[in-house]
Amino acid sequence: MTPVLDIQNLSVSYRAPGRVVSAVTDFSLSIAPGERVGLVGESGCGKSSIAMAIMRYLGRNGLVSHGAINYQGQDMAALASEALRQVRGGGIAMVYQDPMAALNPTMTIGAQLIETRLAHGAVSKIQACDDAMAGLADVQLSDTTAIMARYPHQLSGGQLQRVVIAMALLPRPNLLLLDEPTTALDATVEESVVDLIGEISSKYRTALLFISHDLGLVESVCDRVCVMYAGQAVEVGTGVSVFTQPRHPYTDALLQCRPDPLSTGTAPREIPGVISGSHEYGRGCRFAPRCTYFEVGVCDTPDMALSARTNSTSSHMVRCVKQNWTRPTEEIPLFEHIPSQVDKSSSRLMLQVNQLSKTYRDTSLVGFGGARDVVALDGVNLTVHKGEIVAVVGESGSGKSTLAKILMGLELTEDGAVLFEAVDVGALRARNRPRSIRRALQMVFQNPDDTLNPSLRVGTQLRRAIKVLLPDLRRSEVAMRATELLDSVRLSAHVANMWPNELSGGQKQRVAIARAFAGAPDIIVADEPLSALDVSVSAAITLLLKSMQRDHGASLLLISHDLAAVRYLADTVVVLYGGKVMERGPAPAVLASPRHPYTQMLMGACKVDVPKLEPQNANVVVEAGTGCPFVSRCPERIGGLCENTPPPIICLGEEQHEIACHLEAVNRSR
Amino acid sequence: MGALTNIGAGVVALWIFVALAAPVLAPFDPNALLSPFATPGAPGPDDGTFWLGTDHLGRDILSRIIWGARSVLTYAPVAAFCAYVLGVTMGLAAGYFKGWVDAGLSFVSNAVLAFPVLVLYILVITTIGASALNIVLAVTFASAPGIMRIVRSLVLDLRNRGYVAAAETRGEALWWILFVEILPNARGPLIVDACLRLGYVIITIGVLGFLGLGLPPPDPDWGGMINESRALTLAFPHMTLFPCLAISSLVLGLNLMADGLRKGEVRS
Repeated sequence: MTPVLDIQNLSVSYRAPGRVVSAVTDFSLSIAPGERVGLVGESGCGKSSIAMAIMRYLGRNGLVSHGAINYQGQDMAALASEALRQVRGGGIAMVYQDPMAALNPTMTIGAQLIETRLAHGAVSKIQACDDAMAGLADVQLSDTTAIMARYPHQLSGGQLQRVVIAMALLPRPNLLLLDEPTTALDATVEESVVDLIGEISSKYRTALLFISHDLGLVESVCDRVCVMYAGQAVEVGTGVSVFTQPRHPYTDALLQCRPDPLSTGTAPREIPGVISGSHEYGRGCRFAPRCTYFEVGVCDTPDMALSARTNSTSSHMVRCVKQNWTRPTEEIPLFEHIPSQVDKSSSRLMLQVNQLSKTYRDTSLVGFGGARDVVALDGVNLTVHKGEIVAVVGESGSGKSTLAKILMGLELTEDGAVLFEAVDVGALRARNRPRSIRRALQMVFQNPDDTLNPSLRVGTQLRRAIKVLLPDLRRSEVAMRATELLDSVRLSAHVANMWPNELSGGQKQRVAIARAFAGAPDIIVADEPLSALDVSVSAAITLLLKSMQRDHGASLLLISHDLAAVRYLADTVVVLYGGKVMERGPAPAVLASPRHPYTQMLMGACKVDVPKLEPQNANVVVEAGTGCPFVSRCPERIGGLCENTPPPIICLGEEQHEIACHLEAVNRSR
Repeated sequence: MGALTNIGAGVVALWIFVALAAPVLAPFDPNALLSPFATPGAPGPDDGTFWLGTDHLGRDILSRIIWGARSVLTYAPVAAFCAYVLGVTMGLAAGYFKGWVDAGLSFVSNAVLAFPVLVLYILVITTIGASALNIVLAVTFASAPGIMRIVRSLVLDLRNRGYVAAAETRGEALWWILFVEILPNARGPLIVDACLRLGYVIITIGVLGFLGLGLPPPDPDWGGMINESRALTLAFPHMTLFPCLAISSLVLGLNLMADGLRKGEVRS
């Protein structure tokens, strides 16, 4: 059988001023009809370049310097423009990361779908319209007529990505390229979209090339996996084989970066070093500088080809000469998970949030589509003790970022109090707070690319933070402290003289953490500090946050949707939905045996055997104060009760584990 | 940087040099009444030559253009700079504070922008009289709203950056946040705009001179030279042509420079 796609010895490079940067080297892959192949790797490993090369979308500065790409036996490079147009979209369809950017904001969903159908195949408009509706039904969107008439901005991210997938599938392509299709989506939505992709692929026997940095996703969708490092495929094989018996040290290290969020006590492990630039590739293995099993004279020999795994009947290929390495059994983990074990009764209460509420009023003079107030926080209570790590968990729109902004004085409270050591600072902007409180309460931001001012050198920014927060220090002491801080986040002193754009994402986040610790704070608020980072970098930053928190004796309020990181770091977990606390308690109890249906759903998003829920009615807004905010998505809703009555807060046992749910109350009264 | 950018920068640099070295370069006193209606190349007094001819009063056109460069390259940058100071301040305030500050400033700037700009100049200058200071004032008044709108839109985006929030949480003063954290990061588009705007201001000063609202005579002023000679254009085209070429070349040079800067901006 001819493969749908056959890539032979592909090399892709980009011309930069004065040099040529190699992005992909000697990459071969063949995809059979209906086969699902995952392409995994961190950013910069060349996976998107492969997708672009397949579609012949490489920009003016990109070129396929070697090798061939055959689609159903025809050479893609030889296709004339009309034939190429038919293959693009018709034979090979592509789904990108950001669904909002893939759809035209000025056209209705229906018009765009019909246009796509008409562009590929001679059909009547009525037929195209029917196909479009059927396509939407295929991606499990209910009320297809209404969705056809809507504009992209009227749909949620998950719905949009479904529309994009439906659009890609309309011409019945033989191959679907998915480039990080769920990275922009919430964890719960992500899972349902991934399942959908799997179902559709089996229904229409569409082959998939699924590009992702998320090993878990690839594992759940794909038959075969290809792991990439620095432009080369380092390990290829069936999903089971690669993930259970990784034979390349890089694959193994990647898997170690993401411990199972449900198992206790395992720490993520960081991969030492950084990916080298293409000009730095030495002879032999490109992973060698970071490899634990590196051996002089063996790993730096020039010829390093993919070879079949020893003692294996399957087609498991590895690019490693030392593939029979064994992980040292006596290895001591870098950090063991030792919960801070804060004794709440004796330890000092640092921060207390009482009945915090915040509503964003629609203040626009002309309210398009009707002015509507959005409840961001509704009666949230929270305490942080000295040295405690509290994780606030929830999807986007749950109010977690608003909570962080109010704590930091970037937004003001509407109702309720933020007591920092018994001083109410909720109604004070950061500027108006006493300096001692500003010093004590610092923040790490989400996006590493905008956390540092691009116009100031790293050292200038660090010294400024120290000087402002600790004005009593002398000039020399400030400089010394800046160097110490850089050292404590494991950056060398010369980073101080660099500009932010010369740093990688992980390095920027390290500087941001150093800056947050500038004034020896008592509480660090970290708003999604890991979400924009690569897997291995995220592991390293998780470990760094933990060690900094421990060394400085600070408390940490971690806002995250990354349950693996939460599992490793947090002492206490607070689950937020629609601005209300759904469940709270000690991290082991909440994560191991979630009691609230919403927490169960969140956990289900990273574990497969919990029944999945469809967030179909995510847009239903429950009026504040009338009932449980989760009612529209809850599988165990009690009709007539949950919609109208706010759920009671019920304490489960003695462990300060509590949930806000009618279900528990009803069960108990029975 | 392309060849066109370099040509643009070269032309601008040449004019700056001419303005600086005017006393040395100019062959005659720009206001001396020598020999009226001389054609280009005609011999002048003291073995000199009227390279570009003389005007109806007998003043050497080359010398007047050279000295005129000095005045245009003084008043145009000063006027553009004043417009920037006002426009940037307004834009920073509107974009950072939003709310009623933004609404008020935007209303004022829209009202100014809605007024035909030439009528505005004529109104301002005829009311307060023609002088160098008043030209600067008029240009500032008319250009600041446009600058404010650019700055405001940039600030609306930049104020949401993490580093601004970080500065706020450590309690930085307002001026630090506006002028250290925000403004330097808006510099790219603003430098491009400044180049273009300087060109417009030069044209404006020329137009004002042409309308008789420019620098008071007899000091040389390119727009004024065109105005004085326009009735004689058909008989003595050189009197109008050379000042026109002077204005066009300087503005074109600035525009080419702005184009090059913009491309560099997009690439980075």
